[in-house]
This record gives sequence, C-alpha cells and structure tokens, in this order.
Amino acid sequence: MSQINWITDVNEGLSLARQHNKLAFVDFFNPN
Amino acid sequence: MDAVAYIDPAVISFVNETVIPVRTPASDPELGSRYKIKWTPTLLLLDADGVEQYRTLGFYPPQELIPSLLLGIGTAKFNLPDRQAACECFGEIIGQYPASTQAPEAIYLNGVSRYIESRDVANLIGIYDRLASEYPASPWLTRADPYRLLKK
Repeated sequence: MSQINWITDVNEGLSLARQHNKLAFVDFFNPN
Repeated sequence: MDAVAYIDPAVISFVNETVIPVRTPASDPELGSRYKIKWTPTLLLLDADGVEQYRTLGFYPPQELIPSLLLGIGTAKFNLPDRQAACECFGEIIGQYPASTQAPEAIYLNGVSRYIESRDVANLIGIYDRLASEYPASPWLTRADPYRLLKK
C-alpha cells in the first residue's frame, strides 16, 4: 500500500462504513 | 498532514485497514454546516449514520495520528457500549504507543471501562496508580485523583 485510499464522497464513505462495519475517518481539509 | 502523516507507511496501512478514509474540502457548504467545521484540518470519526463519534483539530505527526484514531475508535466502542472492544483499542494505545499524548487518556478510559463491567474498584485505583507512576504531569492524573481515596 503506497497511499491512503481516500474517498471523496462522504455518503459513499458512510455506505462503505456500514458495509464493512467500520467508522468513516473524515478529513476536512483546506485545498488552497 | 499530506506532507508528513499521510505518507507514513504505518499510517497508510492503519488507515486503509481500520477505517473508511474520506477527504472533503472544509469549504463544502452543506457538510461544513452539518459538522460545524470552523478550522482545518478537522478530523472526524463518523458512524455509518453519519453521527460524529470523535473529533480532533490540528495537525498530527505520524506517531500521534494512529493512537489518536485508536482513541476515537475506542471511544465510539465505549459509547455503544461495547466495552470489550473499547478496551482492546485503549490497550493497544497503552501497549504500542506509551509515549503518545493519548496514552494517559487511554489508561483512564480503559480502567473506567473495566470498572463499569466488573464494579471492581481496583480498576479505578489502578488508573490512579498507573498515571501517578508513569504520567505524573498528565491532567488525566488530576481527573483520577479521587480514586486514590478508594485505597484501604
């Protein structure tokens, strides 16, 4: 694994969290 | 976070295997409002319903990010309540990351979790003894101070 497999859609992340019984780790970042 | 923590091999492995990683701009008006994002980076752990379980603010070096996430996961398990799973998270912080700033809080919550399950005050006394011995400057020792009075 060479990088974090970031998802950019929060709803998709929550759906995967439910599917895999995990928590979603959400990084609210400043893109500038 | 990109320049240091997120390129660390241990962080990459932990994040990919343990949580669902999501990145979104803090400027997103809907999400920024929903989660009251006021500064970056803001890091949240959300359950599958989108309910915030843990929040932290600011940059973390690699050696602090993993125990911080473990503390968040453990706190979410504590609140379920799944205290056995919570203790596993807190125990991993205590055992694997004793130098992290999260270790004293993990000792506190680990002892509290065990006390709730057993009602054995030795778990509360143990919190005080360990913090006094290993982390005497921690504010968590202050929070545990009443437990020393439980000693017979």
